[in-house]
Amino acid sequence: MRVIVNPDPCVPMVAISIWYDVGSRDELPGQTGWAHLFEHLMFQGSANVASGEHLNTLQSVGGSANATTSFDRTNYFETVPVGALELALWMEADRLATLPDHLTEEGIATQREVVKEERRQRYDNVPYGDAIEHLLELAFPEGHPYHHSVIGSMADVDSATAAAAAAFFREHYLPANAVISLVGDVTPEQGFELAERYFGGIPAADKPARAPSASLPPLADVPQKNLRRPVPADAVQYVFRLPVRDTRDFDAVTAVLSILGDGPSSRLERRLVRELEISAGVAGGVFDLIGGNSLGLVSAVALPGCPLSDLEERLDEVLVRFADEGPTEAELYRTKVRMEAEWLGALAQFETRADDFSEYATLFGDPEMVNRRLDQLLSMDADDLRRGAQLLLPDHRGVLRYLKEDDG
Amino acid sequence: MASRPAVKPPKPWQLPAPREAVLDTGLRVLVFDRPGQHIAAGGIAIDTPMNLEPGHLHGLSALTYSVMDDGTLGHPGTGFVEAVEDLGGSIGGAVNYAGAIGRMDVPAENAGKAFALADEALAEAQLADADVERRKAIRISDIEQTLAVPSARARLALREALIKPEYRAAHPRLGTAAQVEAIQPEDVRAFRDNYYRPAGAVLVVAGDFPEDPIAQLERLEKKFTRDPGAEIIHEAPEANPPACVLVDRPGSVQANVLYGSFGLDNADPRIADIWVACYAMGGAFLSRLNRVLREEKGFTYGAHMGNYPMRSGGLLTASASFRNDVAAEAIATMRGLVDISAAPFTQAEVDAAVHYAVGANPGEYQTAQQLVDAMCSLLSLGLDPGFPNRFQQALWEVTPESATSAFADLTREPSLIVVGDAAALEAPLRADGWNPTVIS
Repeated sequence: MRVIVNPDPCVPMVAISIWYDVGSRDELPGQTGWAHLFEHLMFQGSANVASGEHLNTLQSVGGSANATTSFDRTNYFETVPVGALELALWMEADRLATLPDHLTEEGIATQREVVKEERRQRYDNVPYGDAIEHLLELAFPEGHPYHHSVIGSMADVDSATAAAAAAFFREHYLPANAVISLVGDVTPEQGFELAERYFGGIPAADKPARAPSASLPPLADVPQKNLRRPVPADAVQYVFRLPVRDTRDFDAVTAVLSILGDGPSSRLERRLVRELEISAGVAGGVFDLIGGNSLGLVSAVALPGCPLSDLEERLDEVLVRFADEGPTEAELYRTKVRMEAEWLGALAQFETRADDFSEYATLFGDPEMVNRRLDQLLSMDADDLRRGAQLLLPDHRGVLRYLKEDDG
Repeated sequence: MASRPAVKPPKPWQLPAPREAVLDTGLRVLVFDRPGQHIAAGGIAIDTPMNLEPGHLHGLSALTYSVMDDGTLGHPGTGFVEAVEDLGGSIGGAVNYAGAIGRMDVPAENAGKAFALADEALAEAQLADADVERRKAIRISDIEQTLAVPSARARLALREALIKPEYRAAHPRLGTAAQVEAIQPEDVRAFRDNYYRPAGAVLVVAGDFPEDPIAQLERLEKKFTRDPGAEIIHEAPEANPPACVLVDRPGSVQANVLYGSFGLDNADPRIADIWVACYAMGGAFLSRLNRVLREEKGFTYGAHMGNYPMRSGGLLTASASFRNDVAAEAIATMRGLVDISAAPFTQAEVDAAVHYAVGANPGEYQTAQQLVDAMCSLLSLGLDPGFPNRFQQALWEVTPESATSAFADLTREPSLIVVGDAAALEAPLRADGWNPTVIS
């Protein structure tokens, strides 16, 4: 188990971030949603901690705790007053060491229902909530680790048992597959000593092997899907296959998408919202992924009276023009200034810093990357961005359209 | 395995008092010096309660704020936003019933230039006809998006149910599509000219400033200098009688439920009591509602309860969403739990709530941005910067009896709002004794 300590005495608290190197990309066919469902089980009690006690106990001493599951990882985090740091570490160690032996069918049955309610609340019962599932299916072929969403299918979630969960934990929840970062009012000596005290006795095991990820080329045949739904406005979303996160080309596309679709001065907002007045809002962004490819996204909501075909035509013009011309000097300057402010702003929070250290240690084996990332971002030039923009040409898009149900 | 470690009590912590000044324009300034916070935050709480909007023009306050960064005389069009971005800055803000909050973040060394830009926007935003008309079309689209999201639709219905209709707070913050359609560019300019003024507004800044912001502001040749004008009156809304409303959303796979009453503002002496009570009922992970409805029954992804203070009064509400086939049973369970007559709050519940609040408090003001956001919200609600420390002190005075009594008084007859598929929900609700008014 790797341990990272970053002392910062600005407030009398410590942020703990544990990353397990397992996510939805590690799920097998018929098991979609399991990594996330099993994350819920981590709060259902272990040898010395009762169901719900992990969260409840930390809250009752002024801490907070939660967890999230993503494509590439599952992370568990706590922010606690320094006086509760040892208790938090002890509870994390207890569930890492003993959880598989304390799972119950009753506990998993309840959490299956909770997760299905989560799916209804966040995906099925809100406008455009199912977009991510369709975009993933457009971008990745069947059987690809990123073809399915993190939340998974209701049927697969229903099929999970306590025995299956125990096997999953025994395979993936191992010290060698985990990174823990402590950031806050704690010295390195204290942090390393406490990690040793609470986690040191857990038996070592080899980190599970994962097949190397193939890198797929950009989309070529413009896959598309039209959905007729009870949405308030027609909308279009483009998806692009990108290189793996944090590579120079990926960073360049991220910068391009910021110039195109982030904020009132962005090109898409200026063109589609301000000048042509055909869109109520545009957005551009990335899904940063480590397994062979990342994703780029561009979306626009149509104003009434503007058919999606017109909106798409105008959107495509903006993409093509940027790929031809590259950024203006002012755009390049502003996007770098923005990246710098965002990066420094995020690192000003100790929770984010703890998360970043665990992230770079888990995915790149190098927590020091946190200290080099800003220089990498700021070293990009106009040629990098022009090259990145080639990946966002309309020929490389997948298209998801939402059409209002009552449009006939 | 090491034995279970004991918890040491949290270190005492207080929010430091800001440095204060009043500029010659009448603008009050609060400065929080935060070493190490190189991205400084600035926020201005403008005293523009929505009850200043003419009755037929709900949404005017929010629309006015949205056009404020669409260009100034000195930086027309997107020039203003670009000038802020050139400083490494970004603009945000929020418009609520109590007032507007303008926000800007910039690297601290650019604070002086940021003050000049903010001053320019407040004084000389163009508010051009074309910008207002474009923002109207976008706003109408936003309103339709909001109505389509069941949790947001439920919150609108809750306000309407809990607050008497003669008060602005009973009605949607952004207005209705028809009201926004009726707003004319001259209405926007008049609202700005009449109510965006330095006297009554408060500027809050936080960060690691290389130069004293007060000195920078005093030196600045300020354009934002309107006369004080008439006194601003804030409405004090009153409660409606209890109601049961089912908002029909055909095809919904869940019922979004709000169960609540008219609550308390921060000036109420029971504010700490109700905070503790809500934490025990629906704040903690193993609060009464979440323990039963999520962890025992698996009816919901999460059940919560909170008192959301307005400038006067508040909204006290339990919330959760349930799949259709268990919704009626879940609502009955929720009602049973909120009725605490048979099960008053315990000392253990009070202790857990107070320890959570006290321990978590320092983290809530960690960054310059968090501090300015929190402070502007408080100021907008009519409070002073000393409120967070007084609230912390008041928490220690809460007893099981005081929390139980405040909660019981405020939840005698809650209203029920359900947003979902009436075809699936109406009959089971009626069978349970509810008599919902069904609206679409």
